[in-house]
Amino acid sequence: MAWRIGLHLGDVFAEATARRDGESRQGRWFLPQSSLGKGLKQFCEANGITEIEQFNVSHKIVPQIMQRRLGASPAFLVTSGFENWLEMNLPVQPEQFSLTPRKGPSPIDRDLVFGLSERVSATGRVEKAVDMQELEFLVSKLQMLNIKQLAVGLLHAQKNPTNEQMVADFFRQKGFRVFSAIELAGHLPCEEKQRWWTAYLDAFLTPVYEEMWKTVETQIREVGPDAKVIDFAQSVPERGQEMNSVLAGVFSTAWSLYRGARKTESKKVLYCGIEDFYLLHLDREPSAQWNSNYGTVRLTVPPVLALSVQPDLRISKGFWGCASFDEQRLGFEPGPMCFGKGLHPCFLDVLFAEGHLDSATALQDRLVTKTRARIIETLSAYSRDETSPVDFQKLPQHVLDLALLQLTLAIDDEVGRISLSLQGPLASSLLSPLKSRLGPQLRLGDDEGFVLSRGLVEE
Amino acid sequence: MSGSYPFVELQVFCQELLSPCSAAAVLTPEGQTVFLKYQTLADIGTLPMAVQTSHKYLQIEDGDIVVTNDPYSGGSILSSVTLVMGVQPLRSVNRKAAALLLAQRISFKPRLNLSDSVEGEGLRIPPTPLRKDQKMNAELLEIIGAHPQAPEKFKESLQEAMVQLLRMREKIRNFSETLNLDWSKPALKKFFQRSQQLVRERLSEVAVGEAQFEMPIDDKSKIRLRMEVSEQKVLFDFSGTDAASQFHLTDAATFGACTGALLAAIGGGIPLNSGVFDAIEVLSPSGSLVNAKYPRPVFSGMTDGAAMVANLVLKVFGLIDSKRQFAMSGISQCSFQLDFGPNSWFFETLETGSAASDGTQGTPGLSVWRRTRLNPSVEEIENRYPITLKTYAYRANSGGGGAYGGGDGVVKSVRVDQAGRLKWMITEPLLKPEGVQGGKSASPAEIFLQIPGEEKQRLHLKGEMDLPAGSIVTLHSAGGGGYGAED
Repeated sequence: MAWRIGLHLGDVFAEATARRDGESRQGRWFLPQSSLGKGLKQFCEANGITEIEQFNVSHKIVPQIMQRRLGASPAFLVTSGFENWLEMNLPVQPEQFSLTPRKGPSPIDRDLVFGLSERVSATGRVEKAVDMQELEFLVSKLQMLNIKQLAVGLLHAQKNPTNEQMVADFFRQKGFRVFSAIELAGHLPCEEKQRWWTAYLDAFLTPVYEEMWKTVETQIREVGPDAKVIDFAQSVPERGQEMNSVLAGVFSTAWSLYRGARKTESKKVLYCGIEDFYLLHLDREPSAQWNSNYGTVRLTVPPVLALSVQPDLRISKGFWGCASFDEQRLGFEPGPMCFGKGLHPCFLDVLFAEGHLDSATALQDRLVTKTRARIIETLSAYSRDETSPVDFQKLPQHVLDLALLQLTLAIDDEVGRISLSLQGPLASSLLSPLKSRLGPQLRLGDDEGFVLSRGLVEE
Repeated sequence: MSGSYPFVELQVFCQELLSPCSAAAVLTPEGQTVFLKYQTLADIGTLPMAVQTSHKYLQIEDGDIVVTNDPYSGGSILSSVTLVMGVQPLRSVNRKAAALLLAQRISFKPRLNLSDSVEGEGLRIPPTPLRKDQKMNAELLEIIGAHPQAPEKFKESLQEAMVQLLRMREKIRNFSETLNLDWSKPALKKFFQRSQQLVRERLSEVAVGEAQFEMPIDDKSKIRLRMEVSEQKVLFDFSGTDAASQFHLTDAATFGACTGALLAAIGGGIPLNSGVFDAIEVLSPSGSLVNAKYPRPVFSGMTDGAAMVANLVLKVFGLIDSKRQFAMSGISQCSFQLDFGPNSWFFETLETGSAASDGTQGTPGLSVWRRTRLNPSVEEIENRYPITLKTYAYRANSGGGGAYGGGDGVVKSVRVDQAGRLKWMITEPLLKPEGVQGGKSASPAEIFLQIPGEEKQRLHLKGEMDLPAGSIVTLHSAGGGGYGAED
């Protein structure tokens, strides 16, 4: 009988669970050292896996495209008078008053936003029909600019889709790839900003996603040429009738976690991954809205919360003149200092310096022992302006305590006194420090750290 | 924990504790601010004042909750309601006296009432007990909620906020013991001392000196500000400022405006607590427009007026330290309202453009001095009110030109589909949002009206009038000043 393989591709770690008729095999590898194809081949060979029927894949392609702004700005057609509407509603940074405030980063290219002189009223009446000449003119303009995809969002299209449908059909006939807000939003009522973001982001992500996914698929097929390769986020049953959209990939990791942890006895799970920490509410239903960095977006999302403390949360010198956390995540290129290449300390580094990663088997070949002294040196440099006496050897513990405080408060807020299961490769590292703060409600889950990929092959 | 870590821990705890709130504070019963989170300039000064006044008159005990929105008791605009709760952090201490005071400010949709008195601006609630000896005064809440001028869903929102406050109280009590949080006077004294020391270090990077500037508001009134920056503190002296004007601020709001502007000017990341506040002194003559007395109306002062004071602070700062010359951002939120009946009113504001600075363009549609934003859905507005929104967009070329251009303001154009009453209030000083170092000034705010069958007219800055169906109101907010000469 053939195997089904659940494969999670993180930023730098890949994790696999293979399942066949009651048998299960698991593995993890470091992508910078062993590429997807090579690592997968070694995993299969080591576990005697020869016949594969299906790969279910979760990945971080979509978040990576968004973070690095790799997407391709589409043309964006909206009701005239509202060309700046999405941008105007972007969240403001920083939260404190500053003389250089800015809106959150936006993928919208203002030069490619076009207002259409059409209007549907709040009652659904077409006050102004679409002007076909205007559309013809736009076609020429977009062809000149070599724009191949466009997003369309018109006011009150959910009340009366006539105008938006007409525009979408027209541009499709002209050979453009069209992402229509009402088509992607489905039947769930939502306001225009939510729908427009869904369409725009999907249009922004899709071309680059398709290229990157093709690369992934090609490497996987070298190992399983006859197997089906499925992008898991596109096929999650909880998404229901929602139209397939690349945007769903934002939650690819979260969906696989949600599926993997579903059978846990506790209804609350703290996932302690190497790259991410999540809090799962297994007693809640998925939501129809994503509270993103751009505002609220119409998208079905799992009841999974990304915590403010993350493994790669950066440590820097704060207002108080000592090493503490800021809000930035370092990512994994080059990664934490304890992996040997990173230049700035992060949460994983203080966990390492305090010995809490000794039990993390997933990381043992990654950790470089001699970096402990360098981590302490760097934390000391950040604390050089301290006027009160501080033992520099205790700095990692102090910084760790701050992170644990934040984690404890966030968990308490969300979970209260309800029993909480810790799962994931770093669960055993965090159990003891968190238990001393949160009490006996914490227990270790039994997944051996592979809950992510396990979720991809769960029945 | 050693070194400054106990202070960082206290700050992180307060930050996480107040994370569900937009504007909130933790104070001691002696009136010292441990932590403050704000949305507006006025919040910075008025939140602590609301707590201090409420406690002074009502002696808030553990578990008690007091409500107020009175600007002359530390409130801000009347649609912002503050709840203050007493907390005894230690379960082991069997005392009713509160060792901490927790405040949360809830913002309701404002209602614009043009009036010469604060009593005409809306329902004013002096500090009033809502929960005492663990018992909620449900009847009082019902009475206030039923008042014709009470904000929409007042009772439900306050009930929700009180539940949240009680949860926060439990959190303080749960974690103070397990985490050994030290709220004692000696510990907090060290916390404030360290904060003060650190903010003084920041001030030491600024040029020491003194300067003065007079900003005309209209042809009848001005604000005069003399600033003195030393290594120990910053003095803001408003002596010579006139009494009557387009707007009025309470002294607490003026303190907030000065503090917010100063901290923005010397760099971010500075927490707000009494240690930092002690490095700031504000002298505002009683009865002047920066220390207005009851019953002066305050809506315009708490919003646009505070922004104008903040801009003035930056202007004088630039006169003291020539390396810190700042272009001016737009100030007026251009409040306007369309009334269609006693329970149907559409209130809206506009963002201004932010000023450019050395190396950075200004941002369009981003008010420097505001973190509250309405911007609900166009579809939801049109579903709810008999209006059609014609344009909500950036106002092209309204930012001041320069090597770095100022941010554009915003244009909002609304057609009334049913007869209604328009009210509006724009605050514009005689000086446009200035550019610096050769940068140009931005366009000021303005309002236009097109009644069917008539010519488009430009309106005065403030007023109210009836509108027939089909009228179109268009508002333009100010842009931000530019920086540096254009090539």
